[in-house]
Amino acid sequence: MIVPPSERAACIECDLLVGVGTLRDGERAACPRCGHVLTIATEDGLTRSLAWALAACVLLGLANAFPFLALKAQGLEQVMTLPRTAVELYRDGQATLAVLVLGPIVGVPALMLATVVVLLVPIRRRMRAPWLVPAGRLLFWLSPWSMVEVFVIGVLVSLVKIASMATVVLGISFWAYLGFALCFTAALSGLDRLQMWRAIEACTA
Amino acid sequence: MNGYPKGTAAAEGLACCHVCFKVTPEALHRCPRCGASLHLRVPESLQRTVALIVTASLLYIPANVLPIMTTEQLGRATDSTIIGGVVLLVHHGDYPIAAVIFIASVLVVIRVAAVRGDRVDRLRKLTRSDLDFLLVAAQLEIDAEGIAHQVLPGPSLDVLHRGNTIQFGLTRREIDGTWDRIQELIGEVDAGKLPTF
Repeated sequence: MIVPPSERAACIECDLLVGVGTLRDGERAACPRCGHVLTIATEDGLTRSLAWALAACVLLGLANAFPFLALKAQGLEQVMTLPRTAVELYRDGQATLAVLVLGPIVGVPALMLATVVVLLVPIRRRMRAPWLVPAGRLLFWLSPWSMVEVFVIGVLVSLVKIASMATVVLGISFWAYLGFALCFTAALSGLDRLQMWRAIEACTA
Repeated sequence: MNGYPKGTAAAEGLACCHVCFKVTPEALHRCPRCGASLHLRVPESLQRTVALIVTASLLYIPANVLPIMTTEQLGRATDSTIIGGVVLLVHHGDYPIAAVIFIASVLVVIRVAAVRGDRVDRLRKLTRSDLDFLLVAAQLEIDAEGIAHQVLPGPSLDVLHRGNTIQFGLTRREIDGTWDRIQELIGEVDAGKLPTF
């Protein structure tokens, strides 16, 4: 039993008051009026998210440590790493642009992953941790500012443009970032908001 | 009863927390689970939405008409627009990527349901020369020590160099494009294709 029958939920789309009832593993509750999915009950959903998040951490580390891509033109080769893109912009006097580039593609996702880990580890161990509530709020406040998928698409698009001017070699970091994007998305889409906040409440009460 | 539709949480004075989805009396003001502020409805939601849509629609015009990127190679600068990028990708034979960009950046946004009447009236009042004045980006004046100072832009076009004053602006073609898009929008409203409110 994951959501007790006594708890009432309101549909976030149409505000209909709904008694969710008892849900078994794999069952979902949808709003009877507008069909919006209220919650999906999974026994191991949070554990799976933690696993994806840890994998994403490793891949994000790799993505920052190795060359992202190399450009070859007229006998000159230039190797680019993810952090260096921002450093180069900063040296060009474009500090705002540097923050705008590195924030949503590395900074915010890294902070979100850290938040997922510090939330889910105490929840799994039924530990009472003082940071659970602020960390939970931070996670959902940050999520609109993560642009991991946008960056992946952006790189693919600009590759087409650059490929006409120079030879482009994709580095380890590019593939690591691609893997990170998949793991990151899996970790966050597996976090059911209603279930997670109930788990936080169970730990802090 | 407070006038909200029957069966909703709001009708019973209950608010669904926007952060953690807990249902509690709105009279508490703060969610007892996560501490977020409680509202029966998102405050000023329609006004905010309208304001953002109008802003987005206006910014959408220069975003598509003006170049999004300038590539400089061997001293030759090439301007690219979003649509230009799509056309380039089609020429390269990359139809799927071209389709993704076109749908994400142009099609999705262009389906604006309605525009505000008074904004259209404002656009109607604009004359060509208003645009010429507005779209000049910057003007610099170089003093005796060779230091550049920014001064208010004048009413002319293109890069202008007069005495010790340099003015950066847009090319005539870019301004014409913006003008055409505004006329197109007004035309759609007049033809009844785009409702106003």
